[in-house]
Amino acid sequence: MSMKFEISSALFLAVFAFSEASGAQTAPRAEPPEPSVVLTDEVPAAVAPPVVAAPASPASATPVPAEGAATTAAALPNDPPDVLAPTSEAPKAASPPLSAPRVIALNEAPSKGFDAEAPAKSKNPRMISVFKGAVRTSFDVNTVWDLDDRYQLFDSSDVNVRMGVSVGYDLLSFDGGWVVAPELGWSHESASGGPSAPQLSKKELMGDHFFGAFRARHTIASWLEGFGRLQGGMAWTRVDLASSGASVDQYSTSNKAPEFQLGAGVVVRTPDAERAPPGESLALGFTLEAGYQVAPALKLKLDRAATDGQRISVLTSDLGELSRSGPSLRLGIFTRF
Amino acid sequence: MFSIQRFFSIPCLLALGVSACSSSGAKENPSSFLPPLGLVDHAVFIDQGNDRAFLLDLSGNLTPHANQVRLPKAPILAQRRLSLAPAEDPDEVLILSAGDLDATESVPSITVLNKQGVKWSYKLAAAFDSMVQSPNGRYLVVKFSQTNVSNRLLFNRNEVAIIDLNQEPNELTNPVDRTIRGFGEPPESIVFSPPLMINGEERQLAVVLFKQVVALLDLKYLNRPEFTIELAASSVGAPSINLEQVLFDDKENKVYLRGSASPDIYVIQIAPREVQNEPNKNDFVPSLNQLGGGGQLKDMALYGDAPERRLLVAAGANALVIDADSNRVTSIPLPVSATKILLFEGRSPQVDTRETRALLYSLGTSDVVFLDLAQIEDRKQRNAERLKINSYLDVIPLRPTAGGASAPNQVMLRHAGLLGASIVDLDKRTVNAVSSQVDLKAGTPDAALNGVWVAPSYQNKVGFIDLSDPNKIQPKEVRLDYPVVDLLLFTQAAHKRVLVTHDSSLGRATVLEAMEATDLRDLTRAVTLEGFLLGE
Repeated sequence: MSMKFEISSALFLAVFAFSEASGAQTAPRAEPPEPSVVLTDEVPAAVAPPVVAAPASPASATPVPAEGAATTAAALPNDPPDVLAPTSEAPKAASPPLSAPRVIALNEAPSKGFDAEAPAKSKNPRMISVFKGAVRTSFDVNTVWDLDDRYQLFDSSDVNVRMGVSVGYDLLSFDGGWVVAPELGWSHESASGGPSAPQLSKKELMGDHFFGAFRARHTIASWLEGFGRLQGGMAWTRVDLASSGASVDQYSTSNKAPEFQLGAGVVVRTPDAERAPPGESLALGFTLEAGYQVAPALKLKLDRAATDGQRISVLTSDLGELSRSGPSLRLGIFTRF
Repeated sequence: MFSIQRFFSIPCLLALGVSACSSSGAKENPSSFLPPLGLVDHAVFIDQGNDRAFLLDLSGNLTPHANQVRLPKAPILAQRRLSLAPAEDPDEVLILSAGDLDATESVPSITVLNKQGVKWSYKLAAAFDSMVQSPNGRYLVVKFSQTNVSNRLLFNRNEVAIIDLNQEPNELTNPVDRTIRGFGEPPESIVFSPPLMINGEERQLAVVLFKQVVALLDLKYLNRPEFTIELAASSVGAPSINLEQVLFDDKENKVYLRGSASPDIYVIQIAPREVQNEPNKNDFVPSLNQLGGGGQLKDMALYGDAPERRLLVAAGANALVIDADSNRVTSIPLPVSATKILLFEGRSPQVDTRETRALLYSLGTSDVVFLDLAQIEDRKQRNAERLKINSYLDVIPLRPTAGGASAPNQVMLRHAGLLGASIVDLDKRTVNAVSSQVDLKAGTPDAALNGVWVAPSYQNKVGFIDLSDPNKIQPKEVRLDYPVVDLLLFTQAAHKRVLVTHDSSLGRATVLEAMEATDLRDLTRAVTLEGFLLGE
């Protein structure tokens, strides 16, 4: 939990700058400066009332007594809970230490222990509203169609299946049910022995894909979400070839290239996951995403693995370029907690 | 509601479904290549397994890429198209494809391939497995071989297809299908005459050899019937002639035939005849004559101009000189038995004038005999000179294209085992022995560079015996990185090169620069090309 908090703090700081800029553009000049609070391990940011997030709304300016607020007050025993109110007379004692992050956006989603009908949810919300904190881990099967005929060197089908894992974190929650989650992940592909070029005894393509992604998802039903996803990363690809016959020669080519994937899909999950605060509930589900991968073509060359004793220079054939762009279908089984 | 197993089963099932829906590409068969052939500046590799040819360009900057050309189904045989002179070389390869019995659109065919790709494709009526070209490369006869085991239910061994390679394919006129009439036996071989003047027209004849029957076919008028000539009466128990060799006297319009089992030479005189308004009748008539040679006739050669036209015959211990006009036979006892004749224009150590002379030899022996043919009928064995050398297995004539009459007159005799080769100077009648560490299986004469290339199979070395200066025969060699499989010469091209192929399923060959013989050892100018048979 404390580790998660540290991650949250780091991500929060990153969001802070953006939120500052955003707030500066939206808040009237006459508004008093934003009060700050200390965000502690015991008080998830999600439970803080949206007093700053919606300054234009009189209703939202009313402080809401809540467990979280009480706990915050406990951290500052001399301050009443209404120190979060947007007033220019806020006592100086309420200022947090310099190193402490400031809450700029609060969770619109009620946490466990809150009344779902409580006015903690803004009626006129800002664009960026919450730093949520749920972690999502997923086992992914990413299928990319390699429509290039040269892929027949490695597989009899056009389908390139990549297995991998990814971790996501619900960083931003937009009002209206949108959540933006960055992801980090890795997948591995392996294909060998296609029908093309039977004079090669070994035809192996292996790749490791490391990526980061942003997923924006929207709750459609308690068990169903829709999402869009933009992924970018690097692919380390290795092609191993070997001739057949009396003398077997080994050829190996490595390649490193960026790749991008854009997709959209649905999430089907256990229905009550969003009702629990992060870390205290476990949601299971699967994702289905259709998209398109864009990546530079992979040059296929017969680079000799060993040239010991070679006295005469060798010109090896260029087997052309294997297109790595194509439609994709990603299937994921995930847990979110 | 959702079990773990269900979660895992969904993507797996979807992935399987996706795989099943995907398309699969064209499957290739394992490659099996015919022996490579050389055009003037391209090497041709024919993949029988996948019905394609690879054309490797060796003319300019070298790249390890070969142009791939689709061929008709099942190529089984390929030949370089012949020519009498480099200037007339059409620079083409002829490929015989057997077609596919199960596919009606895939019929047997002859494909003419040049460096640009497929030039023409001639459809054939039967799945022939053998082809013979005229020496000038104009005509091609496609036939069944003696060993044909065609998978067709029925086929006629006497059926041939005749193609005029200078003419485009035409379903009615090119090729022409013919059945050569015989006397119950299939044709053994086909020989083409040089252009003969018959009735004021230049004609070429195809001479179809049976065991003791010969058929003459006028290639200019394939609508006319062939002449079928029985050389000896077929009778039960009578020995067969076993026709082996045909020579043409293009001045006298005579055809000389020799059989391995006959003591006689058969001469067919082609005489013109008048034919009025009968386009389907031959305008010439053959007449048969028989020259008594005696003994077993092993080889024959024509020399001299009329009226001094003579036929030299190797008949074991004797050589026969037959006057083509009078049929007078002169027997010349030889110092050693000879079965082969090599005519050459050259000098002798005694006479410094260029005359027609003959080298008589017998493979597997250790002697050769020089025969001066001038006045031989008078001087007989006094015109014979024996030269003793190591036992030899091959005699390779070396005819340089450069130098003309002043070019050295030499032959190479390949010896068995580690004895290497001997270079015999035909003018001086001297021998230079070139020793070798390996058995020189074959030498490849190079008329352009005036030498012999030696590339023993599965050795890492290629050698060149430079014969341009008989006083300085310097063998050169180069060590390659891989064992040799085949050697192709591109020394007639503007950029003279030699291609040495190596054993690799992907295609591997070393290109040696051969502008000068001294280039050989400069390995910095050599390059190995790899992977050119992988295709697109």
